[in-house]
Amino acid sequence: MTSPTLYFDDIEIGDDIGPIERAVTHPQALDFIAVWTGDDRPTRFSDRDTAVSEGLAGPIVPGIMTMAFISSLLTEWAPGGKLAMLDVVFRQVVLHDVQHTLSGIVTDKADDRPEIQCDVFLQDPQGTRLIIGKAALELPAKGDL
Amino acid sequence: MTTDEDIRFDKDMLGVDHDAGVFQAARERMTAFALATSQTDPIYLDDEKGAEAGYGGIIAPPTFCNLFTGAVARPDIGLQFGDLSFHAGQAIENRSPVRPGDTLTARTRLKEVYPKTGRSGKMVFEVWETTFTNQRGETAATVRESFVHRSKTQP
Repeated sequence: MTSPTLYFDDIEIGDDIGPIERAVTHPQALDFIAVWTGDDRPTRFSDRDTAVSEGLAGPIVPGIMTMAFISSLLTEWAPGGKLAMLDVVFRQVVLHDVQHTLSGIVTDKADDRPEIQCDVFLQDPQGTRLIIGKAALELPAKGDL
Repeated sequence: MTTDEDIRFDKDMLGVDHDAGVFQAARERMTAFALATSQTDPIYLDDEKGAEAGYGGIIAPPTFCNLFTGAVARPDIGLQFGDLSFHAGQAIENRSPVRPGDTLTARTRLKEVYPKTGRSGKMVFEVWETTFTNQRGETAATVRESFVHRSKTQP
């Protein structure tokens, strides 16, 4: 991104990030799996019957795909920002074709570099946090810290 | 309660680095990953925009190295606990941008194995850390994966 629009200097602890809505459709999940593994054998990620046989309600979104969406939550909120770290806990499965909400909150700002710390969440329509995590984002600064 | 002493695995594996494979950052895979995850920032897709941003061309989206972790070769640590395993969490630290054509050499090590008791009963966490180093000797990313093991039937 060549035109940073959100600077480290403009951010306060407690600022909200997002929310954005994401629903991973079944075809989108299959596209991702093709990039990830290149394997079209049925798995819990791609096939309803397989997922149900494993006790799941339906096929689930791969954890690393949800991480990519959380990454985009942060980089869309702060164009020009660089994701230095993302650390997530997969608390519950994320199902295909369900509208999920991704959001975050700024929890800290570094004193010696233009980096912020955030808590991030992915929740289902009932408000259950299926994924929780922490992230560090480097941002452009207007001047020396 | 499960203690460290109860967990049976090859403790000599802890902290030991292992070769875990060599992976190519193909341009087509980088752009396909960006599009499949709706990451449409031009620096992932347009060489001119990537160059304007100071990268010399496109770069991979931030969590790209996660794609390789499923193919990382890990030694068997002989863990004997439970009969169910889940991917419990993952962390990625990005150090250097991944560029098309990069060759990423992976080294992995068993970081820790520890017990925990939750609502679903006794669990054991197995944590691996994998570092991806490019052909210039720069660390591209470090990925930490946590797997949880437990029994289908809890006492």
